[in-house]
Amino acid sequence: MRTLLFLLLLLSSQVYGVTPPVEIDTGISADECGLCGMPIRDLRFSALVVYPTGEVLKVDDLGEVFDRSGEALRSGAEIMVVDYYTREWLKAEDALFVKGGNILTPMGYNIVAFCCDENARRFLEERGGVLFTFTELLSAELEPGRMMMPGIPDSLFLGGIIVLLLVTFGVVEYLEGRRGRGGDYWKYDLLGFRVIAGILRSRKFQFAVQLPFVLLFFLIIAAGLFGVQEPERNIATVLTWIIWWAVIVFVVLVAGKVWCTVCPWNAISDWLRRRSFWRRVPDEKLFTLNLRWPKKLKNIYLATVLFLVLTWLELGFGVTTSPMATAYLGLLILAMAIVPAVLFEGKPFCRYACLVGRISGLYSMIAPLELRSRSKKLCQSCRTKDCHRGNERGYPCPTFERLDTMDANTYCILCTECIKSCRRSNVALNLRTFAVDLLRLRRPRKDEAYLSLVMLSMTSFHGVTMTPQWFFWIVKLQEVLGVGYYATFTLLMVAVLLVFPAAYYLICWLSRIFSGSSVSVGKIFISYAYPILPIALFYHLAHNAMHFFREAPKILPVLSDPFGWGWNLLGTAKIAAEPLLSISTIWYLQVILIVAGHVISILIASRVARMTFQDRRQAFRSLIPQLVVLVGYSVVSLWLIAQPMVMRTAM
Amino acid sequence: MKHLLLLLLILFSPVAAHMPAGYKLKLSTEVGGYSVRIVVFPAEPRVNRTSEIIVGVVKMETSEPFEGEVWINGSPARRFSLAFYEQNLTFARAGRHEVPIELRTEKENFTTTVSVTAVEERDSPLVLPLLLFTAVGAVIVAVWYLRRRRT
Repeated sequence: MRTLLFLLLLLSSQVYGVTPPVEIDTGISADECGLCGMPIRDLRFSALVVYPTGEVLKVDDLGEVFDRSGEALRSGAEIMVVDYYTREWLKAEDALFVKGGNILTPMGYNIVAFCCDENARRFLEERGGVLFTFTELLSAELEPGRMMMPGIPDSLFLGGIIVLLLVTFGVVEYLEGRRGRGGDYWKYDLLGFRVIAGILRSRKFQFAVQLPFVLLFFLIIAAGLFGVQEPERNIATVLTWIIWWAVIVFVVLVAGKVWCTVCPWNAISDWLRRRSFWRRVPDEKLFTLNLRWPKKLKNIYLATVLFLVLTWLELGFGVTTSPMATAYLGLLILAMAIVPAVLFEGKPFCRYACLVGRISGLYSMIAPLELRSRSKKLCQSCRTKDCHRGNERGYPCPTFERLDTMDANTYCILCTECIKSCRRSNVALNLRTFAVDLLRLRRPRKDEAYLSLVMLSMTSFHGVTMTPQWFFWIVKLQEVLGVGYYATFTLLMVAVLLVFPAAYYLICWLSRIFSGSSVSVGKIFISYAYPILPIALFYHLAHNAMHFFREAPKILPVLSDPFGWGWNLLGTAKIAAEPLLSISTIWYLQVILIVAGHVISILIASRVARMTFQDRRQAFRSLIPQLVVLVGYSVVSLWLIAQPMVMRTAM
Repeated sequence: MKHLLLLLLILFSPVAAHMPAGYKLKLSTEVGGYSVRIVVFPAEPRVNRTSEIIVGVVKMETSEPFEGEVWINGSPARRFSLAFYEQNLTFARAGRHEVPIELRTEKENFTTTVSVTAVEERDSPLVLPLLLFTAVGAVIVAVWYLRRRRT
């Protein structure tokens, strides 16, 4: 009986290769799925439902059709699917299906169709799964899983590469044709407005802007600990990972270190240390032992390590999908902020260890906002150094900066204490041109160079871990290595961390050979690490753009029901808000961001070359390997956004 | 004395907060003349980083060897012997769920349904926060003591 059934199946499965009534466009103006509204980007997982009326429904994941097949079949509709290998259209009733293999389909049903037994068996061998006939699939229990956001179409990917190459040559040609301008840059002092200066000098101002963020922080902790442990229904995960984690990079690009001004970890530790919300407490009454921070830790390696730990927790452990783990992480960072604040002088956590502050610190070198002295000469003549030591009006700089020497945003946390304490009103909050700190790089540092490389490698690694290919290869690798998921993930992460700096060191060695100069490879390595920051930042922005503009409306239901307990406080609990931007707009935005980051990188690399090498020819020759690397990184960034992105939570 | 009490409170608060959650369901029922003992254990709540929640494992023991297939919750259970079966229970949401249990033989199918309340298995959420609170509290008490001694 089984053999007969198999033969019948085999015979029926040979009837394939039918012509569909309509074509599905998977290009830049991709057709939208008639069931979920997502663009159809991969024909292999798609399906058509042809109704007797002639109406045709295009679907991005054939599993969705079977999940709702009763409705389609009752109306006498015909279902058409595509063979995974040959990409030929078939009648679904003639096809064979494999479900649950090592593959990810757009809506996570993970079902693929085959014209014949041979193809189905090939897939089973390659990726596993369970074989289903049409009838079996109709009665199977189906549930969607992880959703995939489609990547940019091939045409935009190839167009982006052409633009990258053109702007590379264009910018280099332009820069070579003109002399570098090392002089002043455009800036506009916002403290020139009395109102702004008055607000920033008020001691109650910072408390007023910190308080809402502290309250939100406690809401996140409470929801994470006591709310429903489903990431898309709990405000802890939605607000932290979909809103804050995505938006903070945009905030840094526009307003530099403004996050530190409102940071709840900083605020709570400050309040505890001062035992006051806004009053200026005399230094001797501060609740701290005022110990000196260990000399060996006066660098940002600690922040680099913590950033790697967070990356592991985010990508490996999946803290982004666990409200409770999110709350634990928030509390852990709070503890890490409080303990150094009560033991040591100043705020060493903010200066040396805060992973958010240090990452945003390096990124903020690109930002068009800076806090500086109005006149360096006046600062240098100042004997009291109130900005650094503090006085009765303002606390000492918590990150040990001095306005007479400060030439980058990196370590300023915009606490506004120096604005309050400077007796000569010599502090300016300037709007300025982008990336000034990088273009006028004065003191490259080894620890910052390493963090730049770690940031670039981890942002790329982050992108890779969200592609469907990753899910396939991580399983294969586990089988080969014979170890579990966490061990495999950790090994891969360590490999990426070793390979990136090593490859970059090799490139710097090539730069030295090309230049023919005696500048050490170490110095080239440190200096040229800065131009890769814009590539990391703008790829980060491009990646987060997809998260934010598609997923941000998820905040509306959880605002009404932050714990997932069925509340409807604001009447938005049941709202199914539309994404903020259409997916094709986001695709264009992503490509523009990557090209913009690339252009800024080349400008900075060119400036770094001239600062590192005295001879102009040597500088240009040293730049050649770096340009190849920068183009390579940008192409990799484009490739990453061209891949479908597996979302963290179900939509 | 006041400070000593505060210190003790800080130090012992995690112990007070440790209130293990979770559930264990045990019941005996009758299916087609077989006496069946069912135990539902809580299992790992987070699987493959999705929002799917595995709420438990059903372990089933029949009173006498049963030659057939046991289906639990709509799919065949893993067989460890002719009397012991096991099946994962997977639900997308916490709440009360009816779990069908079928004993299938070539001649006849016997069916019963057990009601399982699916909860998210986890330890008390306050253990780690209060451990942190204790650690930070201990540092604060130490700082307070040292500052007092200095003055």
